[in-house]
Amino acid sequence: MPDAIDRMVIEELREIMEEGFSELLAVFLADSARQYQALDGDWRAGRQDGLHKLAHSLKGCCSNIGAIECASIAAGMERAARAGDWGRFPEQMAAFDSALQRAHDDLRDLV
Amino acid sequence: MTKVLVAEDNVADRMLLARIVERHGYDVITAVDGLDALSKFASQEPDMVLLDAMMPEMDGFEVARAIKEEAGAKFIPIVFLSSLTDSKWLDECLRSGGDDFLSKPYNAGMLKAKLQALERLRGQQVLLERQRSELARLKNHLVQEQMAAKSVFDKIAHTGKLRGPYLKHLLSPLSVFNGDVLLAAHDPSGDLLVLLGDFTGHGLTAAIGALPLADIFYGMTAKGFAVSEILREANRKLKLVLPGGYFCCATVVRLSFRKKCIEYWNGGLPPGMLRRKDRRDVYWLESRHLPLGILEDAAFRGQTEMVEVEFGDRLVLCTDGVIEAEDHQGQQFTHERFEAAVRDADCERIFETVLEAVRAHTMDELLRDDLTLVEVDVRNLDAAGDESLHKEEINGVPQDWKLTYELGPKSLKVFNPLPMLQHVLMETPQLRSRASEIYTVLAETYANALEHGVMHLDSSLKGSADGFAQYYAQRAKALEHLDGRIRFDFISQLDAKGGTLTIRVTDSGEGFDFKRWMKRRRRTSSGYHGRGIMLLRNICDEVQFKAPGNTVEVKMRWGKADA
Repeated sequence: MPDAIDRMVIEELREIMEEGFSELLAVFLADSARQYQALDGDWRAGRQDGLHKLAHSLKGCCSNIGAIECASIAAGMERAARAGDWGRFPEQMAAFDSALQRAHDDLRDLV
Repeated sequence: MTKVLVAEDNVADRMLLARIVERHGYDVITAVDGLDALSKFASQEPDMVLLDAMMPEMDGFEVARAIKEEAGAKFIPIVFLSSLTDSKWLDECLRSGGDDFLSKPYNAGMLKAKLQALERLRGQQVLLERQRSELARLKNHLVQEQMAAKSVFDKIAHTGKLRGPYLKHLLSPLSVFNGDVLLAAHDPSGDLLVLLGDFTGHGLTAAIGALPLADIFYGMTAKGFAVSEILREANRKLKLVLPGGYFCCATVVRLSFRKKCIEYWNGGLPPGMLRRKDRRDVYWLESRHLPLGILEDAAFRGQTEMVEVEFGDRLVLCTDGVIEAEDHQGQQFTHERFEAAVRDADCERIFETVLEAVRAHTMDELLRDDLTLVEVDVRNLDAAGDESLHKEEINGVPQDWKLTYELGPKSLKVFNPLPMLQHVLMETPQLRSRASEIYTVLAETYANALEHGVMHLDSSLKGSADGFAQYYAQRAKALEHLDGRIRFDFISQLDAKGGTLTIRVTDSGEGFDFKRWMKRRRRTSSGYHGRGIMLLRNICDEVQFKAPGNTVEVKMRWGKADA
């Protein structure tokens, strides 16, 4: 199992954010959880129209925080949602959920 | 401090980005969506904008368009933020007004470099904008100055006869600055003098040279000076005032409608054309001289050429702007096309035909601004009804007057009184129409009084070629020991209808037996001596010698026809 978080990105963020570093991580934890719930809710309710935007947004914020595996899976979900290719989407959702849990765990250790 | 608006809906991303921008020394304003971004832009007036492409409420592209529109001429750099990377998206960024992109994950170093580059660009744009408004201000100033200068120039240069019924011309409204000058005026005898000039260079130098040229032309034409004298003075003045390398190509034409002839001088302009009324052939007024303002006075030649004309003939002059007018391939209009247009035109439509031909050649309705064309219709001026010709010159001038002018021996030895006397006489406008005849009379009577009356030279010596030389040797010797006086009496009895000028020249000599001379003259009507008296008889209405033969009195009359 690869690292859920890129340590180099984390070090860079620590340097940039200085005393705001912990707050940034806290905000990410809350916001990424909220966005995933929104994605999950829409998927379960069959609201497919906005799914690519939510996946895109998750891809962006995960990449910024160094959650590379999350960003990579989100990118795949965004592509699938844009293409209307829903066959592997449940599988991608599950993979993302798992990756996000692990990223959160790592980040919580850092806070 | 430079203010940067960060518009990003993702909380963590916004926070990170704001911090990065802040760390690079910018003032940060944040916005949470598109509408918020627009409102913050309006209220906080940021200098640069970082814009997430995908935002709720209003997406980044719409926001960018609105910002660019609101900013107007002011340059507000916009950087799009997104992890979108396909070319369609990049294209959309540019078309909506984006100046750069930044993709996620954010790279602090990259962002710094981009912000710095955009700020430099913004600085250049601000500078450019400042220079542009300064340039606009200067241009405006220059145009105003030019209009003022043109108004001064027009008052001096265009007081002449350019609106006469026999003259058509095209002269750019700003011709004073392209160096073309067109002057026309009547001399006292009613002849029309036209000067077309083309100064080297454009702008102020050309305008400055045109002023003395116009002054000399109008002043000397009104006083009845010959074309060659006007040219000499113009050349002298331009040589004096123009910087080295600047000169004025010019054609001067005197159209004598009564004598049906044209006198012309062309220094450096394209040849003028005289188109015969009934024939499709042309007489060329070729350039045979250097332009004005080049030669020293001593080297300058103002000799003119004469050509006979008939009423209905047309004179066409142009500057090289006509000859060199270019079509879209850079081909010039050329002398050949100019000649063909003049030669083949209907005689009543020569001017229009030439202009149409140039327009057709250049495919330009407006024509270039350095293109000057003039056509003069040779016609009977009385028939043209140019009533204003002399009336304006009769007011405030001497007409009935007497003048006595006497020269003693010291003056006679060294001083030639003729130009001064001629000048005094020319103050009376009617006399100007026979300026050269009056000058001849003065010269003959004065030479006679001086050489025979005062110096006692024997004119019979001049009967042979050897004697002629001998005569002038004696004259030079006699001048050294000269002792005597000469007196001029002038009586002018003139009014608007005409009148008489009396010139009486009296010397201090013993006089000569003019009765005997008259008889002898009848026997020998040829030979050098006595020629002066015959000339006087030809010019004057009356020539009388008065006893004891040291006074000659001539009368010249002006009738209605001459006035």
